Amino acid sequence: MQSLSGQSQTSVYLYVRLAAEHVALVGTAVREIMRWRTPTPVPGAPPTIPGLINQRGQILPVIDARLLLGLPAASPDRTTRLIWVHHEQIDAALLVDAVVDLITIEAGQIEPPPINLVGAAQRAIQAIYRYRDDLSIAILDPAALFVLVQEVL
Amino acid sequence: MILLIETISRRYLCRQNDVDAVGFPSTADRDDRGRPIMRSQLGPLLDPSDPPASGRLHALTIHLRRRVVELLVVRIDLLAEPPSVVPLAPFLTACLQLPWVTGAALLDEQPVLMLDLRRLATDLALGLRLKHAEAAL
Repeated sequence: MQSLSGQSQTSVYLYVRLAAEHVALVGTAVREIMRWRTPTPVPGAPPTIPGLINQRGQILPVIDARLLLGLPAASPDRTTRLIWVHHEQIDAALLVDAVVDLITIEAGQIEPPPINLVGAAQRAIQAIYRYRDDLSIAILDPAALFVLVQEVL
Repeated sequence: MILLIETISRRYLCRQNDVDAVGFPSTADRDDRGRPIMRSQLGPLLDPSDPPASGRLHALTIHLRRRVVELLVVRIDLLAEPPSVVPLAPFLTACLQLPWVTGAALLDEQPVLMLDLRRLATDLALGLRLKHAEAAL
């Protein structure tokens, strides 16, 4: 989902909400957006992985993005969505509080992450995009998310 | 061959080869070779939200060198057509507290977990439990 517009390269991102945080995932990593359904729990799995779902014949582990990024747990509601994320042979359903929009971002509009980030956010946030001048959207690194899952026990 | 196991609120799969006998639970404390018999309800052992079953239960019996483990469940069926079992994602396997789940298959369009019952029985005999079961002891 990248295009060249004049001199600037643009990419499409899926803009989602996690608690009060605004985050985005690069569109090339997103396969599908699904409504919440209760996953089958896996005995011994950490709370960040609430279980498995079936999406059109593919069994996907669900990753709770809130817990992964150190945000408080929340019960699913009407706006909760599962995002089928695919990155380097890995597929998973990322649990988010809401899908907000699809946005197109020019490469030049992306800023490095703040230096004061700590913990999981420091690992997972690869850049910041100033959306409509008054909102910062954190762009997540899908590879870092999958690495974090194995470390957050 | 694959067995379909039912607890009160969950279904699981296991390899028939992992189980030495299927039947009703024994009433003895030791088997005929003098090995102590450990009995556990599989449902609550795996999932704190799965309540203990009452009434007539079935036992999956696994013989270990020094112990016999009986895992009690509500129902056991031999699947005539074994489902296609896919291994768990490596990142999920890597973060399991105990490696009792090896994969999953779709039954009635729902994921059903494949258990390694021999490993589970061995861990039980060693006193290993999932966190929720440790807390319940």
